[in-house]
Amino acid sequence: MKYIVMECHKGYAVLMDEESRFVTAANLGYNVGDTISDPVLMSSGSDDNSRRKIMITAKFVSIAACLMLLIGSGYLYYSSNYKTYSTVIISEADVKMSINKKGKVIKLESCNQRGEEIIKDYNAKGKDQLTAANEIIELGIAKGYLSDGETVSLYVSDGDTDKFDEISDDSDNNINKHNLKVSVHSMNEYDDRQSATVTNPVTAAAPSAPAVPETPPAAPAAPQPAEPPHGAPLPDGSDKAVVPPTAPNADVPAPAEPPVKPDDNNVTPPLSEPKPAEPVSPPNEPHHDTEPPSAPDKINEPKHDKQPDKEPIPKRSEINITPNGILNKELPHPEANIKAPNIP
Amino acid sequence: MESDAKQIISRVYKAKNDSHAADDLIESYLPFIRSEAAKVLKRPVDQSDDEMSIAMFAFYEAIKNYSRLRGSFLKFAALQIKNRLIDYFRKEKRNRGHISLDEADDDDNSLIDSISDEHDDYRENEIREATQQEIAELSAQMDDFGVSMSDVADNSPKQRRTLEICQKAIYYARNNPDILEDFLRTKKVPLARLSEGAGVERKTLERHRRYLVAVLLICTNGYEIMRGHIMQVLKGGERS
Repeated sequence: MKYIVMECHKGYAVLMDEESRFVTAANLGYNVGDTISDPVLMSSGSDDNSRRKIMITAKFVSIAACLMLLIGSGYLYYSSNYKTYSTVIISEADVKMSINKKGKVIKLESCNQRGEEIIKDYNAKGKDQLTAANEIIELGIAKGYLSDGETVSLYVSDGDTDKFDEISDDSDNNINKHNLKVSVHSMNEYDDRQSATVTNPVTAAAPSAPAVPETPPAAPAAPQPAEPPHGAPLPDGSDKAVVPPTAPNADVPAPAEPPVKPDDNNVTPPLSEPKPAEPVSPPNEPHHDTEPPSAPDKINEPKHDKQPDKEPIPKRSEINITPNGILNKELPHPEANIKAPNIP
Repeated sequence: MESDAKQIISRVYKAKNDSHAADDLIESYLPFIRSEAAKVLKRPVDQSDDEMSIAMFAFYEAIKNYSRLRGSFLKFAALQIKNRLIDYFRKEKRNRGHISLDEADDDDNSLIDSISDEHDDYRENEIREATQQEIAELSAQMDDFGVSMSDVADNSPKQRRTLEICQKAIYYARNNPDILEDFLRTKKVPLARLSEGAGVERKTLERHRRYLVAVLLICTNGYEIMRGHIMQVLKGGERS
């Protein structure tokens, strides 16, 4: 390609090639009118190419930025509306609520069959957590799992127990209508209680709580030929003849669950063993005693004895347990039976 | 210091569009250019050296390509000078096997003098002078249209596709002398007629208006040497 030198300047020259292009090149001592063949050209098309590259890059960057914005805003929306921010467990109803950042319920779970029965056909999604707690308690009462005058424990995971205190302040809500007491705790206490249930022997069982029959490893477990009637002494009249009772409506998850001591809130852990309780049967809680053996809790009842050599565990209905889980004083303490020798 | 930097930047931006301002700026910074070239070459540089011309050209490129986002202009220019000189050395290294025609033997006779020259030097000088005259006339006529050679170089199509579009328009104008007459009379490029007649996009022609001024002028009478230089283009306006 030949070039004609069209113009000369201090630092450059303008050349015209055979295709009528005008280009800028280094002035290597040229004169106007010279014909040259090997100039040092300014990077031809670099401006256009670089501009094009910048445009393409800018497009990709803007698309990427839009995607990031979408993803970010989507995540923000998700985290404030669908992500579990806190958890509330209504212990007596055996119901767990997952709450989002705005205090609305996003999920309801039952801790056991009883809880499932309470919240069956109940949709709490989108409801305020206080409203949902109130309604769940009402359902528990309506379905007979909670009684008037009972203490309801709420365990809150985010530690913000204050917000649930107002649940007691509303005189129109179900809590006050049924004279229920609300006790709000942090989730740590629930976890502690759970671990205490596992490690400590059961000393009381709430009638509303699923109970597990205790089958201690070395427990002789008096083989009772017959189930003692309510409040009646055992057939052999001995204190040691009480096998670890099991409630027909109690959960029997494990064979060797240590008993736990009863607490005032009557929040017996699900894995607690129902013990012989005082023969106190509050008039407003008859259904707990007369609960059919095939109650929802029975779903967890083992189908066979864990210790086939022992006497069958007496039914829960035959153990008098108050709503607060106080043992029937007429029946011996089950701990004595755990350590008792084999009873023929 | 800051005011000096601002002053340089303002001069650079002015020199981008004004060839005289660019020449003045290069003239002002000749010592800087020489110093930077010497750093790269690791020896003093003379004004007549090719390396000095390359360095000055690199400085001009820096003026054209500089933007405030790049930081200090002098640092940017120093980098451009260094890169250009390195590229030049690489190119020279590729040609090292060739003997220079200017290389003198023991009798101070250069090789080019000893090679029998079949060309007519007198003729070549005549052609060169005629070419210079044509270029001077062209340059003067372009001034009437408000266009300089540097403007045309900046405005010239870089891409093949765009060049072909402009060549189609020029070929059409060459075959329609009334368009050229109209062009000379009105001192304006008849973009609409060229676009319609050549069947090309008017927008492309508008973007390269100053380039079209120069080439259309070459197509008019009085520029035979330059027309002869781009004859292939003028003959085959439509490329396959």
